Amino acid sequence: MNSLWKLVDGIGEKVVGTIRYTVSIWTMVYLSLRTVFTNRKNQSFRELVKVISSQIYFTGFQALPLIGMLALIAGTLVIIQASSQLSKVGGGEMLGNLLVVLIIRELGPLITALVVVARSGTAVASELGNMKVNSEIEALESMGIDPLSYIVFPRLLGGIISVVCLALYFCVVALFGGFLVAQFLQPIAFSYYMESLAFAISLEDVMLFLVKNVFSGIVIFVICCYQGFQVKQSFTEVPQVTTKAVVNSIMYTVSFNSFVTLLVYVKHLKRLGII
Amino acid sequence: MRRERIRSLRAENLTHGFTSEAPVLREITMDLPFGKEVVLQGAPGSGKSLFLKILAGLITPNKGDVFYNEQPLKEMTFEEFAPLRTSTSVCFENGGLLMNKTLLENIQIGLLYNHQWRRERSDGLLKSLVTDFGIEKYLSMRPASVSSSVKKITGIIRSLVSTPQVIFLDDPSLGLGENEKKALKYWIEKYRQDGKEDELIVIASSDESLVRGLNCIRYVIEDGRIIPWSESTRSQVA
Repeated sequence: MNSLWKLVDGIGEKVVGTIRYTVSIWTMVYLSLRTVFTNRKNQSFRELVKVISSQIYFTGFQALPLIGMLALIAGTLVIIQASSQLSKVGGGEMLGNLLVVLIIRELGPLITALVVVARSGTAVASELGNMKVNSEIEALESMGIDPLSYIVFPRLLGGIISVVCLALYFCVVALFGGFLVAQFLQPIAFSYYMESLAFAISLEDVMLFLVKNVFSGIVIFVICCYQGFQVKQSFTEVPQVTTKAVVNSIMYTVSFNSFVTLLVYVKHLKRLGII
Repeated sequence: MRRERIRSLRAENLTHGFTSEAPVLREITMDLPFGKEVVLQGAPGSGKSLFLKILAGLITPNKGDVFYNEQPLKEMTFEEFAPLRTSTSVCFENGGLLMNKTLLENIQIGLLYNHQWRRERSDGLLKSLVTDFGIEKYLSMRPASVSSSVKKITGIIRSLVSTPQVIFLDDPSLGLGENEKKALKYWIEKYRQDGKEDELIVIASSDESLVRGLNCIRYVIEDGRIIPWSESTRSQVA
């Protein structure tokens, strides 16, 4: 009985901890937006744009080769597998639907988010951790520069823009680059392929794509900023907060993506009258 | 951003520590006299820098509060405190420079961000400071490429170039050579001479060579409490 209570206690503690953490990170998002929009006149727009553009450069532009390579591999594999398997069961006309579901709805947002966490999330968490130890955050505050508007907001906005653009780039490369590579192994007529895709893409796919990627952008960067700010005094804390930032970002992103996918399929099942 | 004049600065019953059992500062009450230089002395780890940061509003004390113009800091938001804060400046013990900016950008960032860079006045003052401290050739470099003394000087210049009403200097002479210390003393004196009666410099330093010759009021932080400096406290400071 005692061990059962301990288990319940442990689970309760984890749940409360997760709720607290979630509230904290969304409070940080709210405060950074509030600071920027309520205090517009008192801060340099030019300085903010500088930080946002450098964030987009590091997170978005510099990740293009890696995302491109992953997209090409993923696209090729999915196209080859889907076309060969579907043709076996006579479902060749479903190729576009399958590609849209797999690449635009699922793989694009997920792989992009994982790459951004690995490349930029770690960089942001460790950069902020080091800034904290070096008194850089205190220095900004002492000059009347709010770290929420100067550090968090540009990373959030730059992060969202980068994640959405990278995911779009991923989908384009996966669908068209993958098609070109697949021609060497399993030729498909371009007009047939394009027609199949054009019929398959709907407004719902676009909305899902945007919701997943905007959420990933917000969550990855706010968690990494939040963890970076948790460093107190020592450089030895920096790797610890970076690890925590990566783990939490992946957990939140994957959970949200899965949750949204689940909701969509529940909706589909309801529409079909299965549930 | 418009600056707000600071008419009074007071600490009341300040208690702060990293553990509740052993606070570094205990119930410190102090009214800071404007028109003077206040030097805080004490043994290493006595809480000089901590007290300075609490006064500057960078650390929230566990107990007690700091009052700017009789307004308690704990009740002010960042935005509410900002006009008062931009009337102050802080030079950190380690410089506190942004590592991804050049030294020049570090000096200018606060003023540019708050739209307070006055082309002729600020440029002229910056030029004089940079020449006197001898760091012209380093201005385009980043902090990682320069020595710790150059970083420290950049921090000092950043705190002086904004011509604030209240300056907090945390161990400003640490790691500086003789010439640089001379320049620092010169600028502190100049600031006081140029300044009006409502300006204040708070220096946390146990460097006798800096403090000697300054027309200042000295205090010593000892066992978490602040006491006026006297010959008998000198040995404890050392």
